[in-house]
Amino acid sequence: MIRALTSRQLGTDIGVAAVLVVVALAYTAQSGYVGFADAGVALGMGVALALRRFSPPLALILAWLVAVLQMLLRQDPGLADLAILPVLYSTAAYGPSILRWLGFASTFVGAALATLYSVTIPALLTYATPSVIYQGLRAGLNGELASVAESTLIVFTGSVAVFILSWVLGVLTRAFSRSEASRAAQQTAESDRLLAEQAVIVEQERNRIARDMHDIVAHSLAVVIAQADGARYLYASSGIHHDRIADPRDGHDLVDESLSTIASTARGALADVRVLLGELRHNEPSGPQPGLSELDDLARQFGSTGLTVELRTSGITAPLGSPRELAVYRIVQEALTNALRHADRSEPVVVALDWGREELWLTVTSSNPVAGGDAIAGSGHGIPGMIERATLAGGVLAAAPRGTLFVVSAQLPVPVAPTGPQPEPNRAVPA
Amino acid sequence: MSDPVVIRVALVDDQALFRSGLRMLVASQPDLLLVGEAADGASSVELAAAVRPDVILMDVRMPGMNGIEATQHILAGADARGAARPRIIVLTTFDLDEAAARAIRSGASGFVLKDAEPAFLLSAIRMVHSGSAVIAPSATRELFDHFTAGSAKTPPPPAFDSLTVRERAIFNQVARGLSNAEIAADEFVSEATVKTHLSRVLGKLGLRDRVQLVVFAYEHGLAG
Repeated sequence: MIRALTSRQLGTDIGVAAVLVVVALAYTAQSGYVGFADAGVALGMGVALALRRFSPPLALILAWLVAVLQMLLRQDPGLADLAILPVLYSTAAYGPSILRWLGFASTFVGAALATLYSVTIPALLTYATPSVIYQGLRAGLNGELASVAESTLIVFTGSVAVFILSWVLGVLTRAFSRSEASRAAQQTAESDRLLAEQAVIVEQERNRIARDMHDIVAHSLAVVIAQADGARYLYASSGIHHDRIADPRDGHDLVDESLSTIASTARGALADVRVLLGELRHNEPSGPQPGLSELDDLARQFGSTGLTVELRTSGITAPLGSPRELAVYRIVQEALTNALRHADRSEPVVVALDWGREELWLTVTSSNPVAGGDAIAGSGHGIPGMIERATLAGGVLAAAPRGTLFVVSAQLPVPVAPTGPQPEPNRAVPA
Repeated sequence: MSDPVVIRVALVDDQALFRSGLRMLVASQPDLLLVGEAADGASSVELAAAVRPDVILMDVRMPGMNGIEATQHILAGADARGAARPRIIVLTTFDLDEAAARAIRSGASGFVLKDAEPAFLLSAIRMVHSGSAVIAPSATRELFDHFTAGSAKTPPPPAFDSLTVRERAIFNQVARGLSNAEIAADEFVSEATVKTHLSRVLGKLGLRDRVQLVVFAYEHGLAG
């Protein structure tokens, strides 16, 4: 029954209604005396107009009451009656479907009543004595009666046209705002979906990174265990027994104990890693973690799908460590996957590794999938995942279209070799 | 084969430091002799042909040819030469490794975790060499349970019906993971008798060794 309006909408409606009332009364005053009936009708229509958006059903009821009252009081139709048009419009635009159809019916009933009241009945009362009507009917429709019928038809048609026009405009407005609303909802849903998708991608990539890291750690721990156990057994079986390094307090062999501790600690850590990896592990292909040396294979794999991959290396290659090598591998893999999905396959994709003294620059250049478009900025391209990889490897990554190209560039730190061939002995090393 | 009690062991793993750890362990045992090492599947096949180890410790995850394929090639190569098949123990970092399950299906005699206690690994080497017991039978069953879940179990082949009552009893006990000594005690027979029965069971069913029997029992719904 009552719609929520902003104070501005309500203010506008009341203001417009007030103007109508004032103008209508002023117009009536110009042509003579303003009576209570004139004032009442103008005020009633004004209130109906003011209510048209706040409560379309009340506005329609009020407009009807005022119109009927107007006829009963034998008032001529006036400017104030113009309020009926916006009210009809409002029933169609804002009301529920039953009100809409009541509004529709009102256009015909209202037009018919208005025509009868303002044209037909006065004419009949003026000209139509019973004998005129009788004669007119006998002679077919002619004479005075015919002209009454004619003007009735014309006025009725005109009124219906004007009323129905208002109503139809309301219906159109309704349809338009509906589609606007649904488009807005669709846009909201779309952006929500993109955000959610992005979150999922980052999450997945984090899981994958965690898995890779744990994998690397697990294999290192296996080495620690094998070394400690091997050394312990070899030590126990070799001839060093007689001068073993014993704890002065209880005579325990310290070497044996220390190696046992190393092995059991590493075992505990490996057990923890295994728990963390959980189920994630099992569907992985069997093979060690890929690194830089597997980039050739990767390029070949993509080559077999029809994508031309050029691998270029410049500068002096340095050991990067398996986590960073893995990061490079995964970034290249993801970038090539994107290129395969979105880029023009006839253009070669260039994977360039530029080795500096302290950092490795990795650049993957492909043709821009959507020239000038911003589709790539959205998710679904694994870019958040690549950024995550690079960040965890201590580097940075950017992926963006550059003209007709799409460029993924990353910078990763190259660790300083711990056993450099020429440490400069005379230079003071800052702490 | 100068000394019959010495078990010739070969190591296959892509991590040199892991190999050197195991090398020390093997070297500490008087009845074990390390006869060779390989860093990948392909060279392990050559190694097996050249030095004919009794037992091979094989990593499943390696670059190039992995442990599963290497197992297949080594066993096929031994068959082709008419030589005795080496026993292959698969080494894995993960207890539920599908690759380990596939390696066993391909003919490996069992799997051992890389962080297993050294005593366990050493006894596993001796066990598969003598063929007297299955390494970690319950873990092996769990492994197959994990990777064959969902796939329907097939009814046993007709060959299974040709087993005698005694052979079927032995079959069930091996399938449960009992060693020859345990079965002998249960059945009040000598270990040698158990061995004879078992080799007849394996022959009738066309199985390579007792771990294959465990897998067979599992896949045909015969495991207790």
